Amino acid sequence: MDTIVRIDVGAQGGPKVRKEPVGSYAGYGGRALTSMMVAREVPPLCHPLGPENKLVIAPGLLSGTAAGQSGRLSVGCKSPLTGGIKEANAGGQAAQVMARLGYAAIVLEGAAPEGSCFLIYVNKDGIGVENAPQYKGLENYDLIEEIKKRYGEKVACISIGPAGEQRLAAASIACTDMEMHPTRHAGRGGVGAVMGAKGVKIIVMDDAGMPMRQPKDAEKFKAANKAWVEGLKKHPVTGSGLPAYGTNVLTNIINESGGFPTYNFKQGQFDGASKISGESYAAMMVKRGGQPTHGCHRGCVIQCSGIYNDADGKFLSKQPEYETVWAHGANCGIDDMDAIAMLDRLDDDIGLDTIEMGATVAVAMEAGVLKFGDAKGAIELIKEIGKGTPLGRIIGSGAAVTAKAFGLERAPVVKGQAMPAYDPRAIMGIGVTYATSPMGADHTAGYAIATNILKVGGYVDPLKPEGQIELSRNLQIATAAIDATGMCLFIAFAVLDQPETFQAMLDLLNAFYGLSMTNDDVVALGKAVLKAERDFNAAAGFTKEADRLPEYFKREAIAPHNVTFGIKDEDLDKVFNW
Amino acid sequence: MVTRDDNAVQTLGQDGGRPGGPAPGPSEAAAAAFQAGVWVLARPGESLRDFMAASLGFPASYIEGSVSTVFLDASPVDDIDAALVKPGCLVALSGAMPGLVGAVMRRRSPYASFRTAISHAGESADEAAGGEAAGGDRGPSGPEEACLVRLKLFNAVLRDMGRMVIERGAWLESAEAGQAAPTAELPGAPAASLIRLPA
Repeated sequence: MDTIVRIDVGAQGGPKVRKEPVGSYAGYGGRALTSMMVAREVPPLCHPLGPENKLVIAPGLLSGTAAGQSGRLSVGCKSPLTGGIKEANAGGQAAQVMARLGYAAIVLEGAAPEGSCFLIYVNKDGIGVENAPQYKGLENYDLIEEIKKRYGEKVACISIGPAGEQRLAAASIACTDMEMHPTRHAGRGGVGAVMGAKGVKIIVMDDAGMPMRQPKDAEKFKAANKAWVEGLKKHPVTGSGLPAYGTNVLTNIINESGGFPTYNFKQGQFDGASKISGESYAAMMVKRGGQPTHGCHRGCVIQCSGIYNDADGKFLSKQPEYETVWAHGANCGIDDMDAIAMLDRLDDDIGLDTIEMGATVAVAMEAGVLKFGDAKGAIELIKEIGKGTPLGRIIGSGAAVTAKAFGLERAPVVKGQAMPAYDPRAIMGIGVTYATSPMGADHTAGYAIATNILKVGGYVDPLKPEGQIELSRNLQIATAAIDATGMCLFIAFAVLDQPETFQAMLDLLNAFYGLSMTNDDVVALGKAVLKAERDFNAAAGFTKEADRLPEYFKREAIAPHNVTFGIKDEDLDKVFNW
Repeated sequence: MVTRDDNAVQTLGQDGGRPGGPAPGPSEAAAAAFQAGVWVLARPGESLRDFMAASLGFPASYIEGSVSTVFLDASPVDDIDAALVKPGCLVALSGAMPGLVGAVMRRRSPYASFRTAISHAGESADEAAGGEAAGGDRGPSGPEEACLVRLKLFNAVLRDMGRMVIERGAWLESAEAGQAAPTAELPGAPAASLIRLPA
């Protein structure tokens, strides 16, 4: 994995492929690589859909190895949704396959000629680019069926649907899973629109004939991986809760806490929560012959994905994630499991971020386009995006644009990106991260590893209210570093509770690369990534006023706790004081 | 008048804080009921730990090792010895949850500061035994007299303990159960009639 591939889609005579050594990007993977490259090479003031922007696709440092949970793929660019730097990541097979093919990154550059619909094919013999107009306009599932006919079922694909082709700001990039379903998405920030602007419909990767990446110290790596997997399996969340119920096991809990945004963030509890919980979905999946316990890529230990069948026992979609169930469920007042699964399927098929779509449909409901709880109407509204109707284009541009189009103040966004499934008034600490993350409102930006393990910035008293600023900072630093490894973020649960499991992760990196990284190095990497991202945003015109929640979160209390967002602006400005 | 039957406490396997042997979860209908909330008997003013141990029959090791996330009236609880049961209150019990916010909600979470605004603050035993917050006239207040509280069980706790709670006695409001005839009159019941979940 020592090569970077650059594809100039606008080169004279057709797309030009150029390979180069990783050079000064050595030691970076995943988000660290995408963010460093975007920060160095993309003019911050460029238009996100213009030729100056680049789409950087990078597996993690441990992707393509035998390390468990190492299959995360990062996608970076300047975001059409936020106007700032973006990294979105996805599971599925793509990261493992790209890493085995030896590529640290595939970078799409330049401006595609109008009407381009490129297919990029990568295997052990090299890289080819062809114009493939026969795939234009296809939704992701149909597209992958066509690819299977041509390349078989052992390839991994990275693709966009009609939303990406329309260059809509909520467009995602799909990665295929082990069954070659396009279910795993780099969802946030409109990365699919940038891929569409490069005229690339799909990247097909075949790692046949390529061995697994080998560590420098095989014995140490094997021992570290054993400890790593044991740590994941023995933890009650990664070893039991997630495999049994998936991430949607959170619905009941967050609803119980009063932090479950409902009816476009109007209240913190949803009466229908138990009908769409992870427990209810798991029971339904078993009844219909689906699978509540399933991995999204080879080498997955946690197995938190699942297969959801329709009433006839036929595959409908993956088991919807917690964020999707919240976004299309409670936030839209919908308590119908099949309807939510269908919305998940449509988002995947058209190529849309499910968080942004759920938030946007709820805004449309508040605007009176349809009623809260109208599942059929929500399904039809998402289909409008696939059809490219004027209404569909507004919805596909996200919650902020939709609120503007319908004259509403109540758009739950930060830096133009919709908030995820936790109300920042009830859970104020997450609001600090929503406000200050360089990515816009993002629950995964501050996710991993406690201050007590990394000791970033000294000990923080967890019971002091003012700990929220420090904790958010520490979590964001740690997460930026973890995002570089290609490790699924769900490892965080085992890592934050079990210091020996965190050590095993460090040992994996050290044994693989022949390094001797310590906690301090992890912290330094996380800080460097965040600094590069913040500097890019500042140069793109972001001021501290961008690090705020919408004013109505300070004004409108949310039931049942009747709380408003109470973190002072001056405290938010301290998050990145390190 | 109903009193608790402490003799009904069942003995479960203690290994690893989990019930011995593979315990089947409750039926699909009962699981749905537990997620929405059922009524169970408790002693006003008892701590949440005592409620789980004595009123519900959870083994001490299970409470400590597996009931990682506890809510009282929608507030996440850190100290289950300081949080007290009141007539008509709502208790929700869960295993350890994923995600940062899942971790935030855990008892004694290192991330508890993220939820300071909603965390349970604890209260006095007098308040809990029938004070204003309890609704005043809802249920008896004597130490051996029972009151009704609403209970939700989620995920692993539902799977592990649901059947046992049903066997000890769990009730649905008749409207929720889809039946009309009451089978028991219980203290502090919010509705005239409750239907006992079948074992």
